Amino acid sequence: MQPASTPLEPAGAGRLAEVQRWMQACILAAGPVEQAVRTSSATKEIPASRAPGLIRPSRTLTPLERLDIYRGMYELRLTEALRTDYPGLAHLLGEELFEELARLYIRACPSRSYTLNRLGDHLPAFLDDVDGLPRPRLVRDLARLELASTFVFDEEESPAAGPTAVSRFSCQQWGDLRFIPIRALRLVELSYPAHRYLEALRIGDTPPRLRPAQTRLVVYRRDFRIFYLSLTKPAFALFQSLWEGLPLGGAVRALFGAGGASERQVYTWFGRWFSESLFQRVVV
Amino acid sequence: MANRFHLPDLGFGVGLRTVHFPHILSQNPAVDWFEILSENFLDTGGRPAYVLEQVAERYPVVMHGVSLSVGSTDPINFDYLRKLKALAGRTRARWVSDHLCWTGVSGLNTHDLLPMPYTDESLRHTAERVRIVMDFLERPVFLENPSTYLEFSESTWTEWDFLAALTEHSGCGLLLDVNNVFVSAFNHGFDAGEYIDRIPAGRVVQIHLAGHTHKGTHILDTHSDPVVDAVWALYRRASQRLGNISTLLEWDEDIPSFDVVHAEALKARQFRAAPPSEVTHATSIHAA
Repeated sequence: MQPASTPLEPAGAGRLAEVQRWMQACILAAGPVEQAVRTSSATKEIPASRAPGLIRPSRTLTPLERLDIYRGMYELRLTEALRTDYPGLAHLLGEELFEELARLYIRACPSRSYTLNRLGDHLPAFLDDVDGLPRPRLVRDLARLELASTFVFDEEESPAAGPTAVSRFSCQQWGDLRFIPIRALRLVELSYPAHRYLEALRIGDTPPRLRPAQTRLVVYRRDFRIFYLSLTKPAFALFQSLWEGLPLGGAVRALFGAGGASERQVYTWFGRWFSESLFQRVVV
Repeated sequence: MANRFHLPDLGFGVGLRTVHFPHILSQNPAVDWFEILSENFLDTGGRPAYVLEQVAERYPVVMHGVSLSVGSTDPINFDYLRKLKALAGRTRARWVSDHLCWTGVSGLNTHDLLPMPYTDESLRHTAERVRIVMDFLERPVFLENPSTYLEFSESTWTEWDFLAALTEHSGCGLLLDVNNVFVSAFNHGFDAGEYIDRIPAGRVVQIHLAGHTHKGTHILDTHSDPVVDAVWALYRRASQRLGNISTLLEWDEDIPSFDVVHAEALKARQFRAAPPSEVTHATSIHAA
């Protein structure tokens, strides 16, 4: 061993990079460790025959058994991160199926971020291509809703505007008003009322057996808790128009033109939306 | 013995964990300081950010990361460093630490603290990156010895000599994880006591303690149990050699109540070199 004061020799031609690419390839590969060291991504760096010699054996473990510890921990850690973000999906699928799905997902969409918080961002899209899921539409709906919830959870806090934010404008200006939703808010359209599944889990109840029903939700955060507000089709259309930045006049005209709602209904909706603190600002 | 960074002994801290948020906010427990897992707070504006703001107002905060990947051969992630620097500013972090490891290459992240081959090439490479990181953050960085489960045959340095050389070549400091020393000593068959005796004393500003899981053939650093007696003995040895160093208890799996975690952290008092009365200055910060 060398003392700390030894001058450093120039490095070899990327040996460290080679070893790191090899080890990562082995960790990410599916199947047993003996197979992992034989994958093309591993042998591109180091031939399988030289793999055992790269690692010292311990008193109790062979080199490949030691490498396998990292492979096992990788899968466990990332599966656990997915379970944290998708508790409803894990519950619906059951442990075994969820873990199998997680393993497939982790191989298909390995993390490219410094944070595990966004590991599951591609899971709903990934599920679109998975065959043989039980209750596939509900599974995909739950995944989309839980992903939206993770975004809402992490969004910046924004102040909530009350109805007085509107009353400070003259009636002549109302048509030009733009309602800026709070940042911790997402809109989701589903084929099942999947939020009822998550709400039941949250309070420790057995989730209901859901039947298909077109469901339009505002997913939002208030007092650091996530809520789901179910909207009718016209109410959702109006909120979506506002969300997209349309002024009130244009959004309401489109709604009335389609015969979607009465003036009285629109007033009621806005009352509810303000009471739920869904807007941060009203501007012209 | 004072560290060369002139950083204070903060006393006995615990890791800030989500399950303890309600207790900490409502009870304002008399803990000396908190260590946060940096990545948990870099990209959130929700409840974690709110809780951290409250905690940082009441207690000294230290930042501990897992994604610096300072030994990786991938390019340094300056976007990550920018966020890290901003968070350190917001929390008035006393110091920032991470691990001697790499977490991924080719743009991927395994989210594990992967072992380095302890070679001249690794040392040169890592020292250069540490210097860049410290220049960018405009503060010293403290690297923790990781628990490792394999050793590379091509390593020509012991881990403790490598760490000592790294501090010399880069100017960084150390976070000595005593449990990790114990875990790696068992896994690789080296003498944990020699490790403690050889670590460069003036470079250590913090100590980690934790429980682990013995699997028979090897030990995993799971942070899932109380600290074992052998690790307390190592801690005593480290305290005798290094003096009183800010000490943090980590508990990340099967986390018990805050009081249990805090009580485990406070056990460290009896293993320190100096009497507890000499290390309680930090408590006055939140008692005011």
